[in-house]
Amino acid sequence: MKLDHAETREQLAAFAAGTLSAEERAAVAAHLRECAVCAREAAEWASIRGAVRQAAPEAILRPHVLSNIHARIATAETHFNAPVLWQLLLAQVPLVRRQIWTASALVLTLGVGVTLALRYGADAFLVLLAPLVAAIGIAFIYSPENDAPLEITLATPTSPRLILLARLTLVFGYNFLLGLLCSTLIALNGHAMVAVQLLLMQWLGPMLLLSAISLAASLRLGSTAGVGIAVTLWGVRVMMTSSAVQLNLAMQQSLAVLNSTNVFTVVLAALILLVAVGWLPNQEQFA
Amino acid sequence: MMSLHSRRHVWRATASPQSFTTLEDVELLQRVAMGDQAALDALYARHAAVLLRYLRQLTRDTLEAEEILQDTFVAAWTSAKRFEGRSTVRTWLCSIARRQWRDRHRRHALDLDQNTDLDQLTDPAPTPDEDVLEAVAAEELGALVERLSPAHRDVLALAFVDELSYAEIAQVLDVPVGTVKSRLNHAKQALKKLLSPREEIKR
Repeated sequence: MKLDHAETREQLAAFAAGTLSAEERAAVAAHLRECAVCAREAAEWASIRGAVRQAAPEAILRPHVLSNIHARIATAETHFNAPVLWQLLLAQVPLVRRQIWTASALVLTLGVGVTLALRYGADAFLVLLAPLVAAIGIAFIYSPENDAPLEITLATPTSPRLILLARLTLVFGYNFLLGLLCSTLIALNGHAMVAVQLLLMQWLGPMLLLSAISLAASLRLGSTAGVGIAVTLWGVRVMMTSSAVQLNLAMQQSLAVLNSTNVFTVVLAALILLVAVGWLPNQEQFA
Repeated sequence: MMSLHSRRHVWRATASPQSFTTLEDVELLQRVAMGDQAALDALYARHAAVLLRYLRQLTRDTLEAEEILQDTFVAAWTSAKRFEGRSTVRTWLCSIARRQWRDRHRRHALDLDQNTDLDQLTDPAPTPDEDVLEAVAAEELGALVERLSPAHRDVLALAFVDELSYAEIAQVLDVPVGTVKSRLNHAKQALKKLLSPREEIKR
């Protein structure tokens, strides 16, 4: 191994610290014999090493530190056996943007309220709102650019993918439960001529699909783009379903498939999700 | 990177309890994850001294450094399961210690990371009058180190007290390796700046 002047200069602090491999060390030493500038800088780093170690003198480990650790571990033990995944989920609750929870609930409550008051078309309203609200929330679950807690979370030995999945589970689960609640409310009131599970089938598939797309877009292009793409797609979908647009039979059929819960929508959503999570750079933790 | 530094797992083993001397750090941590307290004690015997030294550099208060050391090992106990082997155990423990310190000092922690703006500046060329540092006694220079910014003390301590490689320091600080190099150089320049008025008075 041979190092040039610039490469050697970079290694001089590590050389003084003694953290180079034997090979790197020999290469630096060889350069130092020829280069007075680097030799002087190496000597400086050696002085700095001495000074830093002087400033942080060898501390005596007092026995009470270890006994305190033992005492605290003994009391912490009850938490120790709790399922790690559940802990991870709970830990993400305060870190997800608070607005997501209130926004979803407000919009859906409003939707249910309006449709119950209208006493007409309640199911259509919910079917239109629920997937969009979920997808918008999901676009915000993982945005490193404006998420201070995320930075700290990433410094922990938890993989960013796991954190993402935990948040996804939380926000999607929340929106699913909200949708279910609204469906039950509407069905109980008898405004929709459908049972809860039929109502559910109408929005669950689209919710999965739109959320997966929104997540993929937000991870790649940012939260705003995620929201934009979800809203646009949903707008197109609403337009095409409305009677104003003439469609041929094949298009009508594929639209019907996309607009319900079936193997196709679920598998497609899972695939998009897989690609989105796979995209997430693995080394982000230590970028 | 892992292969370069794996040698260091072993040489510290002499300080640990008898039955664990032959085990590597990672194996000890696996036992900790299963609830083996003796394995935690062995890790403590290997790494606590150097962590305490690092924490002393961050806080300069022995009692607080000891408290954070406790927090660090309690945190290591509860999160051992989540160690994924992406870094050495010692680097992992340093990250935890640093995070525990940050959690206690959110305001100072800001100072600690704000320095990143400085890192973007180009490295100043070495001045011809470079040998000033060598002429100063270690005690005197040590006193000056304590006057450096937290970010500079942090990176210097990780390099020379914890004796972590650039790549390992980058993991602990969660910054690119290039930033570690430039931050070390900035710390050196800052130390020289602290030194220069003193030199001028002498003349």
